[in-house]
Amino acid sequence: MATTELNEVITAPPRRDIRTEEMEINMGPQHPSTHGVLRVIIKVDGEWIRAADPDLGYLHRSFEKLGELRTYPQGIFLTDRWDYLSAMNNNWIYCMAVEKLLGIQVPEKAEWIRVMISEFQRIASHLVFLGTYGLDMGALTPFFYCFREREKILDLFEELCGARLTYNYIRIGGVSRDIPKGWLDKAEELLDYLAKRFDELDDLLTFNKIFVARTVGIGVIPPEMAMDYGLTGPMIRGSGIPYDLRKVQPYSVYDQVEFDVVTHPGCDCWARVWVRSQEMRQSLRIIKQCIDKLRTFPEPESDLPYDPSPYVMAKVPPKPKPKPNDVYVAIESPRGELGVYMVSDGSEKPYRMKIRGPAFVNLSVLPAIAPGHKVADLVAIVGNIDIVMGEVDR
Amino acid sequence: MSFRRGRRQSARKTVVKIINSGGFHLPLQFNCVKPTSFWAGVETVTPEQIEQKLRERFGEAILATRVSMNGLEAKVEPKQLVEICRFLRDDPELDFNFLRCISTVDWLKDGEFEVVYHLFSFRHRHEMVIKVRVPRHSPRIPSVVSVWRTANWHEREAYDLMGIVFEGHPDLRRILLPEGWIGHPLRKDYIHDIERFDDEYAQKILRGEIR
Repeated sequence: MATTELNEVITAPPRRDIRTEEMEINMGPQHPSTHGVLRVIIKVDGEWIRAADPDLGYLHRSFEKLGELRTYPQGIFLTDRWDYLSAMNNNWIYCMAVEKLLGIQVPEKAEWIRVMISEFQRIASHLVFLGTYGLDMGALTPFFYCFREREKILDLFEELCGARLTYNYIRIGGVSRDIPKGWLDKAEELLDYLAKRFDELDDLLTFNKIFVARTVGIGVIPPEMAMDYGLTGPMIRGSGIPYDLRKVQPYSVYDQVEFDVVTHPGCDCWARVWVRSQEMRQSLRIIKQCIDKLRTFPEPESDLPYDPSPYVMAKVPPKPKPKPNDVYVAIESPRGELGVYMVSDGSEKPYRMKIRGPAFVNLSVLPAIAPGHKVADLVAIVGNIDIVMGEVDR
Repeated sequence: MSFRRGRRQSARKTVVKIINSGGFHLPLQFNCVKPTSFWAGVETVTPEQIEQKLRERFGEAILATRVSMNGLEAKVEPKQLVEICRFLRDDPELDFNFLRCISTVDWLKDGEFEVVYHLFSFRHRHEMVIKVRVPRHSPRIPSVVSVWRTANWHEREAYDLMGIVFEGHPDLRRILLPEGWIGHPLRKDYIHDIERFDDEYAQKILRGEIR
């Protein structure tokens, strides 16, 4: 065959008019690319996907019911387990809901610590995303680089609160412990280190030609569709809509820090990866400002661990009993809008606690965008939603 | 450092090439948006104005209103729910195009279920709450999937865990619990029991009648 003819064959569009018998197969629940125990029932026509239906619930632990059976301070321990890659944000949203109901004013230093910790957590979570997404696409190397960087952040967290994954650090009225002496210097050193490593990661993964070819034009979500499906976080910012709760409804001290909302009009998987990789740089900017600000506050008086410091903890009754009311609060977690709707009836336990998981809502767009792709592209789409099944199933 | 930048530039060209060959003719920009430009010239609407608009249009279907911590809170008649929601979404001044969350509360003492809709507008950045109450003995409520498609999974979850039937929902199945589960765990009168699974259903699975 002549070269020109061969080229024609290679570049010809796939023949969608040839049909074979449709087959229904399971992808998951045990599948390396489903990030946990997600089962997708797909109808395939040869290699083409005709329908995809996610089947959830393999990790359902009923946190909403468990939250109703515990007092308000006891409920914080559960929150770490919703979304185990960004446990700090879960602590925060739960405490924020209770603080809103109680009408507690959190000390300013605690607010700055919370913002700083939340941004570190965002970087750690996005690093896991980039690493595992590269793994899905067949790139093994970035995975090790990402986890090496994440490990450094976890080391900082360990020094701060003693835990590496389930922190239980943010409490109702503040944070459990003041920043140890010398911690801020270490954090500042890490910022310079991370800034260089992010450039390296971009070369290695985000702008890698094979990676780009696998992700550009895959899983396209137009902006109208993204709004209709209620997508949040990088999923909607990758469709060009600058919806970021840190700017839209600034909570805590986010109105005092400078940063940009990262958006990309690409609407495809690659755009969302790019948004995440740029968001990590914006997080560095925020953390730098937080460290500068935290240096101006008084230091803790003793070096003892878990010494209650008045600078980071408001006065909270040991058994808080909010007046009957209800409130919905939301923060920008790495995956999108993490919300809690809490109803109190005047007792020491919440009457109802509803969790709005961003990954749960983001995953609901999968049946709409998967048809028309190939099976290998479904791996790219599912990984790109950045699901954490602990939060999807709750 | 210089060779790195060069490599990144060439990769960007690849991106443009692939996008153009795939038929995606979107303006390719690599930028960080200042949201102020996105929201320039958009007027904010106060809760009082929203209330006035709702009352003018729907009158008695709005049972009660108050200003809550999440903007205006309106208790509405279940029968008119879909029309009200569609009005809130389509009215250019209100433009509630984002359904944040559907929550359910079991008010056992009142004998009622409450369904709570938290709405938000991307364009105007205002929020509001809609509350609907239905009796516990017949928990049926019209579905709002036709208004916001994100309601699909929220309603399936509410049906699964609280047992509220959304009429007109395209695909009302359990989502978190298995299909043969008995009862709805978030109800206040739910008694935790070890045997909560329908035996007949399990037998059907074993016989291969259900996948």
